Amino acid sequence: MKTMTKKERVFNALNRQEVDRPPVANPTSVATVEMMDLVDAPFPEACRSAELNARLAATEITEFDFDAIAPYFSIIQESSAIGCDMQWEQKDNWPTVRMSNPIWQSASDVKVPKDFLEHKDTKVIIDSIKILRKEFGNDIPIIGKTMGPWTLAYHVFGVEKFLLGTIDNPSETMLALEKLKEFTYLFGEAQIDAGADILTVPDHATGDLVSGQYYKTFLQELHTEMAENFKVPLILHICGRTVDRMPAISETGMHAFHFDSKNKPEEAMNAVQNKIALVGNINNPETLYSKNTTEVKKEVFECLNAGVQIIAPECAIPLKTKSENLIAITEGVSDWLSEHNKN
Amino acid sequence: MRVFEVREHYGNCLELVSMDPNFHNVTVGLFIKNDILTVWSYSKKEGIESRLNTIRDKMVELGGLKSIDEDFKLKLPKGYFIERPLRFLFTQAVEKDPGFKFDTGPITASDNKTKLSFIIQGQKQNDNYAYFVSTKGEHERPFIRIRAVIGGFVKYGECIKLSDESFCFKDKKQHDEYVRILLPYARNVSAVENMINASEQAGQMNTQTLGFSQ
Repeated sequence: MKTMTKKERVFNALNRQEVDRPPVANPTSVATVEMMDLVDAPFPEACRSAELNARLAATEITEFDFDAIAPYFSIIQESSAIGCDMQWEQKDNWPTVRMSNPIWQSASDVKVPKDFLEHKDTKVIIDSIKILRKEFGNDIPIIGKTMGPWTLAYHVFGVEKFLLGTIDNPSETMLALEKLKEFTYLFGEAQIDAGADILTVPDHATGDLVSGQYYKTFLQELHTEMAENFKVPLILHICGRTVDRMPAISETGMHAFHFDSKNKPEEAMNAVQNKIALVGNINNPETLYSKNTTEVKKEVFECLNAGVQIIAPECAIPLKTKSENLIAITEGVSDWLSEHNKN
Repeated sequence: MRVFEVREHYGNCLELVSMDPNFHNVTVGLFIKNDILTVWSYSKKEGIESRLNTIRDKMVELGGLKSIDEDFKLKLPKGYFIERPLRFLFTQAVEKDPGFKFDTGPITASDNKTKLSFIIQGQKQNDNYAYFVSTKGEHERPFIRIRAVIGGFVKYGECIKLSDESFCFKDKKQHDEYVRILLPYARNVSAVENMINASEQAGQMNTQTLGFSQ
């Protein structure tokens, strides 16, 4: 088979078509403290300056030879632009929203600020994508990210209040999600216009907090609508144990689901019945963070043996991940191909 | 130097300190290839070479390792590869004030759970170099605290328990520097475990750290 460009490889994998080698691409983040030093782009500045952001994002290709670039590292850029109370943290920790101090009380409060896409913390991602597109041309896929309404609801209403609302007043919850999805569309479309080829949509209806039925009730339709309306392939990301909702996710029309290591690759593949591509699911907190390259490669093999289409860490990698373990992911794919005489 | 070159030249990363409080918050790693350790950072900040050599020298001074005539590098004498104390040593060499020195003389530390002080004395016994833990001060049952300290050395120093009051290292040799490094950790394993867990959680993105779980 002829060697594909990285973009062809990722797109074919997203469409569950044949590839020259399974791509490695993290739809969330591969930013690390070591790479922040290498390119002099530390957190939190790299989340707030387009130039630094692009520089750090590029290491995914230049240092680790992954098959895509994902410049939106965290999950808070829109929430900052909306006006949430932010904690920007420092180099070795993720910026977060202070959800104990929510800005809105009900769906009627949800309004898109006039300057939402001109705000520093949304513009940084849009401008970074433009820089990366110019620097890397069209053969490297750029994965943008736009937060889904469920995650945004946690940020603007607070986790506990929002979840209690799903029981006390489900129609109010639906209304809030309907209004919040406007942010998902606006930011996603702006990234596509800037040059993003693919969008990740994190929407944290996680197994730790809500059941698979919740996914069907509140989110399946919204996600189906997104898959129809966005012009680029979508990768849904939900952390935690999600195998109970994977059949519903696979019906949304999204191209791929980025899944957590709490779900075994084989059971996940069985759950989606080849109706959606899977991306994942190398364990972060134990394997990538604290184990060695042999253990990383072992998990790569497990994913490939199960048929996972795109190999990736399960979520944004820990900022203190050692570089050798990231190289081991790509090497693991090469080793697997050699073992199976495929290249 | 690129990532793959660092791995080729310096080997695997044994420990990573994400922010050096004594030099622009750069990230510093300790790499190992065969019996050579290298202190390395990807930072290109002015003065970084000097800082890396300072950390290297501090490891030699505090840990009894051997400096070699090459920037950033040091040699592990035979029997000195014990992962956890090496990692603690590296962290201290990076994070402590560059002027920091261990006390000389008897190896002692106060107990942070009682009013006792621990004293550790080494002694050659046949082919074995054994370390004996004793206490000074008032407490109803000091032997419980001594046993806990021995457990700490077994956990963090990969030591072998010889009795309720003594232990030795795996190679049965004298490692006073490691005993000095480990004693503050060995005396309170639960607090150290909490500290390690907290450090490991920092920088992780998961449902817990995002606040999306119970």
